[in-house]
Amino acid sequence: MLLGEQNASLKVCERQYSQAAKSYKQLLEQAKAQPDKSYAQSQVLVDEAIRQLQGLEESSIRLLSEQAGDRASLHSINVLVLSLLLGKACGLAEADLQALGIGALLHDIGKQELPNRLRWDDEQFSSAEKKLYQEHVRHGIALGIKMELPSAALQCIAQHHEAANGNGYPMRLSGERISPLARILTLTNQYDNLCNPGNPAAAQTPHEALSTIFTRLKGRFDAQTMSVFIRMMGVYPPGSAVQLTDDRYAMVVSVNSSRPLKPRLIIYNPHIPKAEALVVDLEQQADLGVKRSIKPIQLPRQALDYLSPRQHICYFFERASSLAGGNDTS
Amino acid sequence: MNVERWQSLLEGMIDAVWLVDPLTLHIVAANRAATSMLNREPGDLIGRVVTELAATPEDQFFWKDVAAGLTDHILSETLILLKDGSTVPVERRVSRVKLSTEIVVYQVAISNRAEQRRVEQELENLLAELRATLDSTADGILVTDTDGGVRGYNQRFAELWDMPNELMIRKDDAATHAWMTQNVLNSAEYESRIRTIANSALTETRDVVALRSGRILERVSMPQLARGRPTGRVYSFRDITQQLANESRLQLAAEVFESSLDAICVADPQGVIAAANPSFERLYGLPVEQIKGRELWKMIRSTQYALSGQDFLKALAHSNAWEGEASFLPQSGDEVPILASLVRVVSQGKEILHYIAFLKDTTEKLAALQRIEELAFSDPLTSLPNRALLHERIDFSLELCEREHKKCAIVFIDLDHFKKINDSMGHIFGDQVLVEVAKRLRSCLRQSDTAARTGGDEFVLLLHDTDALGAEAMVNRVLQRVCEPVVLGDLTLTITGSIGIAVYPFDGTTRDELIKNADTAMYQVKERGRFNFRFYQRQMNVDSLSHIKLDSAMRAALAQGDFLLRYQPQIDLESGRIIGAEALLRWHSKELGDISPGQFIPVAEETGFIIALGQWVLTEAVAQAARWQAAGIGLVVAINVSALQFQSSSFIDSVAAALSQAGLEPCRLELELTESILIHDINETLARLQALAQLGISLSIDDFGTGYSSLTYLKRFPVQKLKIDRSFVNGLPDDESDLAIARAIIQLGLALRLRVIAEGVETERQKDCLQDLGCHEYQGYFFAAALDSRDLEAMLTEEDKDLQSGPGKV
Repeated sequence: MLLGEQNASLKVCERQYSQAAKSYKQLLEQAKAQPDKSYAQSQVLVDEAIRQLQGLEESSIRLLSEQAGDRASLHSINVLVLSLLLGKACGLAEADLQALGIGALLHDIGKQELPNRLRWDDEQFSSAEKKLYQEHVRHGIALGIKMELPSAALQCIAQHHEAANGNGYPMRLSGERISPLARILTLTNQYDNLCNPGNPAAAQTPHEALSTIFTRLKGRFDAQTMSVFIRMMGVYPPGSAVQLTDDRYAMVVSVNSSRPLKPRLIIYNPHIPKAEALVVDLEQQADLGVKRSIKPIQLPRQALDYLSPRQHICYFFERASSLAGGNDTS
Repeated sequence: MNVERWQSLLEGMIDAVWLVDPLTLHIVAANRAATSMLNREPGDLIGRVVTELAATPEDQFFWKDVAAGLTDHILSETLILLKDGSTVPVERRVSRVKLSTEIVVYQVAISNRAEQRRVEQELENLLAELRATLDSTADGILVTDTDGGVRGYNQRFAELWDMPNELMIRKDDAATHAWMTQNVLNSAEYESRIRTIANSALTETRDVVALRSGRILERVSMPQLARGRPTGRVYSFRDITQQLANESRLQLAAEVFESSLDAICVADPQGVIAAANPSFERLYGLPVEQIKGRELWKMIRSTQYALSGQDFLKALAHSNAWEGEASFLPQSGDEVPILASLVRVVSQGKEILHYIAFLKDTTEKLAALQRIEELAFSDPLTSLPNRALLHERIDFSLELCEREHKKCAIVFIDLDHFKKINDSMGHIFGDQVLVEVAKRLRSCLRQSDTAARTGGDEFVLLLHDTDALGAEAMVNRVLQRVCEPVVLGDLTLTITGSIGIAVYPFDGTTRDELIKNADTAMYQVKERGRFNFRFYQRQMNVDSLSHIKLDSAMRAALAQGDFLLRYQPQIDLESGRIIGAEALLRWHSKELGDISPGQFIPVAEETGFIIALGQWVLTEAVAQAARWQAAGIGLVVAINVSALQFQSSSFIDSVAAALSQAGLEPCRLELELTESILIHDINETLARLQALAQLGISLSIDDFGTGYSSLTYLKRFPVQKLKIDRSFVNGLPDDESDLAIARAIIQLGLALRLRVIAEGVETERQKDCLQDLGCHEYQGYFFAAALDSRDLEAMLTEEDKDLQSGPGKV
């Protein structure tokens, strides 16, 4: 597959993405005043997402980290997309998928009731602040009841901060006591929070986020769900900017679920025009491997322009961080 | 598996190293670097499954691939799980090592990247903060290298310069510079300045750049230094557009205040003046230091609405602004008319901050307005065209007549005795008369004619396309209309006019000439008894003598003895005998010929010479009467007394002196006084008349019927005779109104036991008519004109003969 085709499907996905973010914002605004209407709108949004995600899995995953806009709606849409993909991979039935979608979309709806500065978890929070922050779950349940959400969806909202090892909140539920749908949601929510944290400087690459989940945070999640998740995402999820063992830069375009260490990718090669760049399957390249993932913004400018379908403003000072990224091949 | 003999080799490695059994994936050996990195005892390490410690997905998948025989090496960054559940970032390399023919192990070499990551993260945080700082500054920031290459800029910079998106996503320094050059107002200057800055790597610069977008940027540039050496330059751009606008507005306001022609002052909420501009100083008449502290509301008073002080405050409380005409009281105390614009400045909290007054002196404007009114074309009282419009119309008419060989006439009308109306009835009444006359004049005219009021009681008609005959017909109509009785309230009176006519082109070809000649003709009419019209005749040139010239001529004439008296006989209608004579003043000038009293008497009255002239007449007439008395001729001599003469304090004494000097019996002297003299100051007049009566002389009222005698006073006045004005005699006996007036006067005289005499009798029918009406005496051309004293004596001798022979014959 050529880069061009990839980009076309990305564009479709992108449009749907921003549409979804917009309607999420609307339904959030009227959740308190017109809860029934808000729920109906959520259903439309979720049904649309289930229908549209068909065949666009990789592009969807790829966009998770590339969108710009209002953080609250981006996070909810990211979690919705990831949860639906994961739910589907877990073989959920249509009705469960819908309930999961509603729960994923509205899981943070209770944050509306919090003052702005308490809406994003922060390690600097005092214990009182932390307690207040955690209240968003209860607010979410209250709102969800108002909206007359199905109980499976309500459960998702109630349990999205619970952990398999019983270290979650608010109920400190563990293992099987966490609903299967919530087990999916806790994982996707955690993943997106690692990739898109409140402080952008603390953001992890998708690959780093997965590594963190599988090592440090392993006990919090259902092993089965994690296993499905990693197969779906791959070790280097689509969209990851990577440096290869021969130091060349590349971008992952799709996962090889039987060989997650050998994704398909596009390698930056200044001698081949961007439009003609070919997708390389690492499985065919025995001696070539991925050495590390890096943030796209840390790519050298030329490599970024080559690999990323998006246009980046080149002069703003955020580009300066590429110096910190080390090896500039130009 | 026994790998102990490789231990010393492992210990020699810098990296942490594990050896892993390919079948069981157990760690079979580890060096000290490994145990210290993981913070575990060697015993705690050896025997563990490698994926327990290297648990990331890639490690797990790698070992799975190894087990499946798909791979035998990996090099990547990953995480190692520590005993406490935390992770450490590492770079690890796994390779298959054949220790001997039968021993194969996987060597996992791990180098700790924690420090590197920490530094990277720190750098990232630092950069993020720097970025946030740069993007939170109000200034646009641009960093270039020493060659001018763009290193970066912040969002504000892009906003200030309106950087297009395509320029921002393309790294094209030349295009970026070109964009900036294009977007400054003065590109050439900008470029040369940029070159100058580039050539002086160590200097700081500060200047101002005006953009085409209208933004004004302050550009400050500083060299970027690394260890004292310039590595680039940092430009900061600050938008000072608004600041400049504010400054210039302030400056402008100050200039306006100082140089305004309007007087401006600022007063505090109590109305106390805090500041005043130079124009205000001029208006008030004191320097500003002395104006400060005075009260504004004591200086201004509205003329339009009779507002002052508190009233202004009320008006301002209503709308915060007031504008209107007012008067201003300056230091001198002489009020100045102004146009005032008052503003109340109120804070957002509705608190009064101060008052500002803008005052414009309108003295000159009002004067100008007045002048405009003067120049405007209509007479405000009668709304007839005024002199200016008349002149315009005449000029137009003359042009037309000249081109089409037509004629036109200028008619000069002066109301008779109008001054008396004004004097006796007041101006308001006089104005009403003028309005009525104007209405009547208008009713007589054709569409193409113009009637204008050119002065107090002067009217001028322009009769277009008219010859002498047409003019005469028109003037007759005018005379008739004007003399119809005027009813004003409960008063009825009759106005007459004297009219002079000048016809183009015979009596003049220019406007001025025609008006002057019509005026002259009018004067002739006045002189000849008024209430008539006359065409201009060339010999009237003497009339054009100026009054001054006439005055000096008169004074010379009196000295040279050019004045003389003529005597017009007064005849008793019953007996037919001459019983008296009216002394009439005549002037024969050697240079000017005969000059009529109608011409010089008004001038003499104007200049006061009339008193001297009157005194001469008195002396001369009394002397003549005394001569006649000595000769045994029994005539009463009547003389006219002018108002000035009558009112002079020495008049009575001078009469008495004249009588006694000449030795004349008082009853042989009669003084003729006009109604207007008598009505002037009733009590004073009565006293004088009584004094004169006591001298024994007789008094008569001249021109009776033309003034406004009050019958009450007439009864009280010691007069013996009424004289019917010639204007009423003129139409006798056919004119019914003249007849009625004459009859009424005669009846009145009879009722009050006064004698009645008619003047201006020219025909026998008039004489007969008067006789029939019961009139006592008459005088006029029918019997005789004014005569030389010797001629009169001859006439008396003749009369005596007739009388003596008459009865003899009978």
